[in-house]
Amino acid sequence: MTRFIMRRLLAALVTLLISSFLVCMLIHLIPGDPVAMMMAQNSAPSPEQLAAMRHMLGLDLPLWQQYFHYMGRVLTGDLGRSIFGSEPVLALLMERLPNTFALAFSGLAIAVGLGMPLGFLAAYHKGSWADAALMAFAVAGVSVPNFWLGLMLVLLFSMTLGWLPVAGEDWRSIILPALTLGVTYMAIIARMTRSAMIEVFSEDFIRTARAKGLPESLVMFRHALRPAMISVVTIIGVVFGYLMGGAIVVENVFSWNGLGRLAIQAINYRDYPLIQGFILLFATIIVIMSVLLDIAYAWLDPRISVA
Amino acid sequence: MKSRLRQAFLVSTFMAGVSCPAFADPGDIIFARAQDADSLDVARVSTTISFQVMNQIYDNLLNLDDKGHVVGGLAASYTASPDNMTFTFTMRPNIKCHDGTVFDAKAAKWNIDRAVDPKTGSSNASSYGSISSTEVNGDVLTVKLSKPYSPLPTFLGSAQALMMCPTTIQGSDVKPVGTGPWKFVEWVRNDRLVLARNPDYVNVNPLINNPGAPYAKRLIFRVIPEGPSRMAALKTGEVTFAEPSLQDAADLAKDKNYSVYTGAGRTGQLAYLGFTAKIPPLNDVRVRRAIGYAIDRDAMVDIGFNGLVKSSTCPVAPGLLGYDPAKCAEWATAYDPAKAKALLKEAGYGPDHPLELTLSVSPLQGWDESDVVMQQELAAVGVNVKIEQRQFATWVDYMSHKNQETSGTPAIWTMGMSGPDPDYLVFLFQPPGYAGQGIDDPELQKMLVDQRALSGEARAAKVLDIQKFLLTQAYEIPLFTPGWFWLATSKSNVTGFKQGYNVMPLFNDVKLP
Repeated sequence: MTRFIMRRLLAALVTLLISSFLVCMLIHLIPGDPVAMMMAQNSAPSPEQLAAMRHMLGLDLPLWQQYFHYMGRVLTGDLGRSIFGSEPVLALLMERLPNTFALAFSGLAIAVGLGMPLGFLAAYHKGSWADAALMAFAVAGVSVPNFWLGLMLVLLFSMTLGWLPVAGEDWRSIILPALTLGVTYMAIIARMTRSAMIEVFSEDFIRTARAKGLPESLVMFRHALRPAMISVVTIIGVVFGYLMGGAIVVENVFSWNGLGRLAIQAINYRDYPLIQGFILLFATIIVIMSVLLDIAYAWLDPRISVA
Repeated sequence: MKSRLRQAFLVSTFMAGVSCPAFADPGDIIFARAQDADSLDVARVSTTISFQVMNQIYDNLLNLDDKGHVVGGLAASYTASPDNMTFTFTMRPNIKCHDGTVFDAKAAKWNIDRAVDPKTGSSNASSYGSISSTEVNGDVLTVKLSKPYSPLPTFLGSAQALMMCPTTIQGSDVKPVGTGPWKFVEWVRNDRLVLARNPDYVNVNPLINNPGAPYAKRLIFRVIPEGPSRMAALKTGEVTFAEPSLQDAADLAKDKNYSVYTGAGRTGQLAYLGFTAKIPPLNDVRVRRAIGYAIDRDAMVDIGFNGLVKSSTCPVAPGLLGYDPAKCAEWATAYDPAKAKALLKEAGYGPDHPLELTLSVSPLQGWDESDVVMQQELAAVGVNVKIEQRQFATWVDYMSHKNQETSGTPAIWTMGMSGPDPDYLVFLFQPPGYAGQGIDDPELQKMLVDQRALSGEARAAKVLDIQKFLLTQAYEIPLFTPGWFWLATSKSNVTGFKQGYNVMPLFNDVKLP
């Protein structure tokens, strides 16, 4: 298991290095002069200022030096300063990371908490009216645009009932965005749980367990659930990645101050240091998630760790 | 597994509570807007959305009354030499910054020196004129210019010339310290900007009635990007003021429970159509005027803006020196498709040889719809237009190059300009000009320079001459006024809200129910 984890960590490191190189080179993919463009809107930069900005971003160096220059700063925690507001990029990202984590975890908790039992029940009652009803509910959840769902929740819980804030500042303000995200991704998890469980139910070892006369609950929860979890865990990882990348539409509807909104603002303003910082942080989170998922697979199915 | 999920949910809920503490108070004014300010450094930004916040923290050296006349501000009075090349400002005594430091003539000098220093890179630097020196003698600041510049006092009354206390700038950090009615408390970018009442405030702005500190405890600018969410927050009472969408503003204007504010006639904003006037055939005045004749401004206003703006034919915004709609109507192109077709025919264009253009724009509510109206109107006279949208930062960079080109696909474009004084025509049309729209014409350039040496009626007449040139040569087709960040709404039991020049919100008189 330790060797397996070390191997995964090494692969993660390589992925991160490649990501950092791509992030560093991102600025060269922009047509025209990126420095002139990023400074065009809010100031009338002199040639000296443009040169100073180029120097600050290390763009006056050869490409290979630019990468080492960039990595040198990144490794000391310096992701540069944002163009608009001239604030440290790392501080801006770290300020919003807890909010994004909070929304992602809450949304995921609702999605998993509702999606898995629904999928399980649908699989257990496969072909029945309950299965059809549960899956219809799940399909509706994934089909409804979360922008619309969010506004409907605002209409009901904020404007009609007056229970929850639209975009307030207290802890209650996370409930509606988390519910919006949870219902959307619940559907995906329910469908995945259902198909995984149906597949496992047809396996020989389940038939054997039943033939041995084990109680049905034991067959379900002890023998069937764990192997079915591998594909469910995969989808949970994917969903969490989406949520961490910034559920931008939901963040906008509920004015949730997360990473997604910051990234969109940075893109609109061509704030390249901030865009680079966001991509690097997002890549790091995804890589860490992948490693954790791999470890979860190995825990769920020990054969994976020796493969 | 269940216990892990429960833990995760509890941890995440706790984190939400930690990162977003409850802080709203019934004594707070909360203004929900779609976007956040860029910076609180006056010399580093040029966007209305940023000045709307800075106007609460910082004061002006001079103020403008409701007729646009210059009156005292941080400076009790000022004098201008007959040649408009020397200005003296006598400071009001005992003005304190929010951090207790003194705001005096030296602080005013620091602001002006910094704004015009090329190293600062302020986009407003040219609006100070050609300043050659600033000197302080006791409580008097003397500003000398190398060329006449009569608009300086008016400019000093605008948001672009707000005065920061020097302690604001600490290296590369900005810690906003001003003398204004509200003190800076906290800024969580893209989320909220919190200001607290300045209890020692003494008001001298004639647009405000309250002589002392604002009535509310705090003023909070909140960013709520989605229009429906802003309206929901306004209706549930979570926010006091909100920037409405055009549709919401039109609906709420009919509802007696809400007040809709539309700029109080002091926006100084004008939207217009420009041309890549060096690229044929747009270098031909007949083609430019033909395009002007094809445009029905009223349709753009009604369809694009639900009638919340007014069509305009003057290059200078309503209320500014030299604004004369009757004269402008004589010189400008009015909607006349037949004339448009005739001029295009003269220039060699018709059904067999349609004129192909690009309409280069930046997306903004109301503008997007009116751009499509314009596209259809031009199609009706045989001009095929392809609309290209770019975000504003990219648009400015693109047009700065495109307007300098002498060949390639001709383009028309829309832009907005605002200011308290018609001198912004220099900013736009003196080469290279903002977004590269400068016009290399000696007659126009002489007039732009000459108006700066004049005052009063003589200057108004010169500004009219400039407008006549721009309209008859059709270098600019004025479209409508105002058009951006000018709308606000609140419940009607909130009183005292005002809008100053260039849609600066004024909260000093606001009383909450």
